Amino acid sequence: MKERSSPLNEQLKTQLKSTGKSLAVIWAALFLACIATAAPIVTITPDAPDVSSCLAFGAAPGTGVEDASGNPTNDSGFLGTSPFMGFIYKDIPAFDLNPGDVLAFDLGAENDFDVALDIEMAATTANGETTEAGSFTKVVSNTYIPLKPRGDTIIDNFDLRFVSDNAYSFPGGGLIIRFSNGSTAYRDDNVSCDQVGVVALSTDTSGFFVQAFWADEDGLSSPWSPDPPINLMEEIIGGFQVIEGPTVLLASNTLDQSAAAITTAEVGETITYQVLAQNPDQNGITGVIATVTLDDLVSFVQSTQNPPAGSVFDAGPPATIEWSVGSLAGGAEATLDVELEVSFAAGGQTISNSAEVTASDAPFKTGLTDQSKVTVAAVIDITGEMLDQSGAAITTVEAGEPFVYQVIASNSSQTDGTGVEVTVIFPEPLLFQQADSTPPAAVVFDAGPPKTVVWTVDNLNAGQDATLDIDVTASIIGSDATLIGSAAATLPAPGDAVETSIRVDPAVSISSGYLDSTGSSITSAQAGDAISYEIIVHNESQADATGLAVTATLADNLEFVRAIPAPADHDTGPPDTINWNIGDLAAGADVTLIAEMGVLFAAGGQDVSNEAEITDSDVQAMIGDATNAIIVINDTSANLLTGGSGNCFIATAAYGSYLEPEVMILRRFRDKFLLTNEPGRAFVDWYYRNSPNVAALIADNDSARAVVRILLSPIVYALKYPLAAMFSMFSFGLAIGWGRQSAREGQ
Amino acid sequence: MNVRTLLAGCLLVLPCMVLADQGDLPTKTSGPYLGVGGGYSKIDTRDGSISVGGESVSYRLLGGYRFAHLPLPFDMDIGLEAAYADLGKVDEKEAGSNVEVEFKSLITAGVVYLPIGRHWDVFGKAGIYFWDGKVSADHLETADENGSDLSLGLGIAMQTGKAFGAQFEVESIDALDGVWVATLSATWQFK
Repeated sequence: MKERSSPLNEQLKTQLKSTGKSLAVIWAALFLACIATAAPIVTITPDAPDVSSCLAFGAAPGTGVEDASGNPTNDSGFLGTSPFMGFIYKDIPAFDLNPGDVLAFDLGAENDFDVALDIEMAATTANGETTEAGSFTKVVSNTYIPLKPRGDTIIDNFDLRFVSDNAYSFPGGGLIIRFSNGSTAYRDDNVSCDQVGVVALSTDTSGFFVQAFWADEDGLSSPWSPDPPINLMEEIIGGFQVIEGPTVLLASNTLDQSAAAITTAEVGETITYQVLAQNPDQNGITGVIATVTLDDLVSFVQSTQNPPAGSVFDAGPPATIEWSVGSLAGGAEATLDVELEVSFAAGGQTISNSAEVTASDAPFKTGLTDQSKVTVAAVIDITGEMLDQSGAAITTVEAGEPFVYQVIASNSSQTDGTGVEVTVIFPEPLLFQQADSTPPAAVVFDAGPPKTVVWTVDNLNAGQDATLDIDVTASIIGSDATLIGSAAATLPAPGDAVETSIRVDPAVSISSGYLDSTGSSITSAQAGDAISYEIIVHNESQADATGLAVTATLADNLEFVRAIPAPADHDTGPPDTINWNIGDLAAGADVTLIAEMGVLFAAGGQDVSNEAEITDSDVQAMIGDATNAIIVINDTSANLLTGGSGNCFIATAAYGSYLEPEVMILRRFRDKFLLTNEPGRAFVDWYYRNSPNVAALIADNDSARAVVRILLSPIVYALKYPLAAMFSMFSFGLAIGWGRQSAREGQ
Repeated sequence: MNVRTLLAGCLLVLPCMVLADQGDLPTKTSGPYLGVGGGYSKIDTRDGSISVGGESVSYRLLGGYRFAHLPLPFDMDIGLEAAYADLGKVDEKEAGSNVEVEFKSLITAGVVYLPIGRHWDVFGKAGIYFWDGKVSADHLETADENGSDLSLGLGIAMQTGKAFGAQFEVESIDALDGVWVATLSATWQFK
């Protein structure tokens, strides 16, 4: 392939004719030097390639039958008789594709079959349109099998390369590249994401991509007919590259000991980096040299060539092999197998070896490259555990309690390791004390943030462990906090972080309850009572807490009286809130906060709730710890009607003391004769209900008390001397009867 | 109308009734009677530190039957009486609310009359108050309860020669934390 004749070339030709042979040779040499590498003429790639989407280079034929919703049935839905697919581009620069030039596509995954398709091109009627201007030109035949026919996982290497066998001159603007399998259907393979290309999404901003299509019935536009139909710019489109030919095509793979292609390997494993060189042209090429560049993570063992050819290993760095391929007949191939050992340092990393045609006797036959990547499994296994002082595994600690964060690094490979380094990251509340390594190794603590310990294990033989014990304590962090430390190998290769967690018990607790006026704990009260809402903040940990503040929110039906100690702020609300600044609270200490209040009448019959919470702290995790205490307020309204107290004795008021002999006589009478029968109990009950009023009337009046004592005296006397009382009453009755009889006789 | 005004009015009316009724009929006879009265009530109740009490005006409608000239000692008569009494309403400012207690009742009682002269009796009364009480706070009713409790009363009754009579009594009701009622009633006995 060559660029269209440019003004520069015409000028060169003119100058060659006019300045003679020697000058022409100089200009020719300069010209060849300038264009001696096979640089791509056209490269169209997405701005943000997506390797997770399907690119159906090999779509299966289907029945073409749609379901009731108009969607394809379970098979691909492609029509077997006209299986066309392709991409439509715009703003593509003009190029001439000649026989021997390379048309390449970039795959992000290895295909599940060899891609061998007819490839056709046509310009669109206008830039950005989707209709072809004239007939398609077949530039690649499906009889051509690419050197790496299934592609690879490497992005941006345009690994699926086809050699053009027909010329096509593209004028620039809109371009359609169409794929088909000739007169036969696509291979019998359902659509799957095994066929993945580096594609552009509809959101791509590169400006080259217009539309993808497939399952087209006739390979003609107006419109392209995917089934079901799709809108412009809503589908994926692959990038492509046009490379000048003739050239030497290169392809490489990594093989295991059984010569199977691999993408993963292990430390210590022997792998083979295989390079294929192909001359796709009809004419032979001589003086071909390919240079292989080896990754630092592998060690060279040996190399073999087929056909035999010279190769020179240079330890570098970087290590290289210069492979003197020599002559390649038209269509011939040569192979270089490089045997390599995966080094310890490759653990967890990706090995990348590459090859490049660095010389040939013909122009345009250098510069083409290929590479192969292999991911190596990590060999440094990290485990973590939290231990108490006795070495037992723990999952919880108290704040301030010392414990051990243990990290173990293991070499799981069969190869002795060197240069091993592990980095441990602490959460902020963990306080570093010291660290010990077994076997001894350098440990460096960095206060950060984040807090880190870099553990330079260095030598770690195959199958061996190294242990790092880090003595730490948890600072005050609040309730139910879980701290997570992470450890990861950072050398020779970064590994996955292993997290180890430990829960820290509640550090500062807050509780609350109610007290009556005597300081006794209560769970119920009634309207008019004076109660106290008591809040206790306790530091249960082994570390001092600082910067504590508490806010209490009082219920509506409680009337605030005062707070002890004096609060920093009192907002009458609603809601009524009190703020205390506690400040520091030593380990094990507590502080009591009191809010005195009266129970309003409206609270009767309700469950009233006050709340308190830690609203400030130097450790944010503690904020939000809260307590809620409920007190039952009895229904005073009903009690006013059905209750009643009546616990006072008139006699007590009259005689002045509950222990006076007269009062004791009455009490004995009550207990012995009244409370032993129902009528007596009723009388006592009635008396208790009504006596307080009378007692209240006489208690402060000496005359009234004297009168009552006189009135009570006969009763007390009768109770004290019952026989004498009965005789007196009998005599009194007789006297009354005699008196009334005398009166009637007198009338 | 306050309590003192009511009592003063009743005391003025009573002598007029006595003087206006000087007929020849026996002053104390068996028979039914009806009456209407008014007076003073004192209601006290408390629950814990909440105390509501005070004085109020009471009204009552009463009716009964007096059994006279029975063979009882001291020429005592007995009677049965029923009444509807509105004992009024008392209120206090308590625990942030104006708390009101209202008390009404139906009364059934037995009466024992001890004559002291031709027109006068001293009587004792024992009965049951079937009461209905209401509590309201800031004019919103917060409780409505009813019950029955014992009542004891002591009074003095006067019968004119005709149907008119009057009685003054003081009752203590075994309800709440003390309910006292002093009532002056005018009665009409069907002879």
